[in-house]
Amino acid sequence: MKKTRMVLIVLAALAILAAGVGLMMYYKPHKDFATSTPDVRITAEAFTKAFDADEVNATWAYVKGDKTILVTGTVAEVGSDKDGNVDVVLAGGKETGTVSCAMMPDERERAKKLMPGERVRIKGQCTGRVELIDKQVIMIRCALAEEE
Amino acid sequence: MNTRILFALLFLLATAVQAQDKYLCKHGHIRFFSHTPMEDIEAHNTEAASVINTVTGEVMYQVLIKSFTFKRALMEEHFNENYMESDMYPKSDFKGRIVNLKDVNFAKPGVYKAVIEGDLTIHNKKNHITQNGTIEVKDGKLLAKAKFSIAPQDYGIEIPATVRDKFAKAMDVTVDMVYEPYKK
Repeated sequence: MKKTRMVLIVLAALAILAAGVGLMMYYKPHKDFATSTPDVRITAEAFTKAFDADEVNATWAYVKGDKTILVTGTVAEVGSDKDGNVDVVLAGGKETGTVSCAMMPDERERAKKLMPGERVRIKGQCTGRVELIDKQVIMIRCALAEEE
Repeated sequence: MNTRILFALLFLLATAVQAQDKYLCKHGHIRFFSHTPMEDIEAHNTEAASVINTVTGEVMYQVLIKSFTFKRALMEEHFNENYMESDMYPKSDFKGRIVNLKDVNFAKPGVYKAVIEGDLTIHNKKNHITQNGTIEVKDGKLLAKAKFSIAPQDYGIEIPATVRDKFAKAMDVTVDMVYEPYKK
C-alpha cells in the first residue's frame, strides 16, 4: 500500500515536471539579439563580400543557428514604412551590395536619427541575402550596439 | 562627332524610359495565417523584395524564409527546422506576370483589379498559380495587395499526424507591397 502510494507520488511529480518543461518550451521567449554576446563580428563590406563570393557557404556560416551578428558599417540610408518599420542600410562593397537592418520596435526612434555617412555597430539576426533588386544582406531583430 | 552625341543621347533616353517602367519594393509585407480550434499560427515578413514592370507586366518576388517572425519562439523554430527546412531552402520566389495588363492604367490614379499568374517556388517545389489582387496607383507609387491560400502539401511540406490538428489544411497568405519608381 505504502509502495503504491510512493509510486503514485513519483508519477505525479514526473507528470507535473513534464508539464512544466512543456509549458516552458511552449512559452520560451525569442533570443534577445540586443543583449546576447556576438557569435560573429564583421564589417558590412566583408559581410556582403562573403555572400557574393559563396552564398551557400555564407548562409551556413551566418544564417544557420540564429547566430548573433555584430556588423560595423557606414549608414547609406535610413528608411521607414507606413507600419512604422525602420530599416538602416549599411554600405557594403562597391560591387557586392548593402546590408539592410530591420530595427526592433524600441530601437526605431534612435535609428531614425542616424545620418548617412555615420559609422555604426548593429547587432541582429542574419536571414540571408536577396538579389532581386540590388544585392542586399538582410538582418532582422536589430539593435544599435555601443562601442566596447 | 554629332552622330556620337546623338547615339549617346538616345542611349540615355532609352535607359531613362526603361527605368520608369520598373517599380520596386524592397520591404514588402507578407503575412500568413492558419486558424484551427487548437491554435492560431501567424507570421509576418516585412523584408520581401519585388519588382513590377509596368510595360511587360512582369512581376517578381523574392522572400527569405527566416525573415518570417512568429509571436512564439518555438513555433518559429518548428517552422524553420521541421517544415520549411530553411537552412537548406532559404528563399522562396515568384516569377510571373499581370494577365490583364491592359486593364491597369499605371498613369491614372485609381484601384485596379489585377490577375497575376506565374510560378511560385517554396521549399524548392515549383507550382504554377493564378491569383487575384489589386493595384492602386497613388502619389506616383503602386500599392499592391493580394490574399490567397496555399496548401503546405503542394510544396512538399509534410505535417506530422501528431500535430496535424494544429494546422489548417490551407494557410491564408496576405501580400501588401508599396512600389516606388526605379531610380538608377
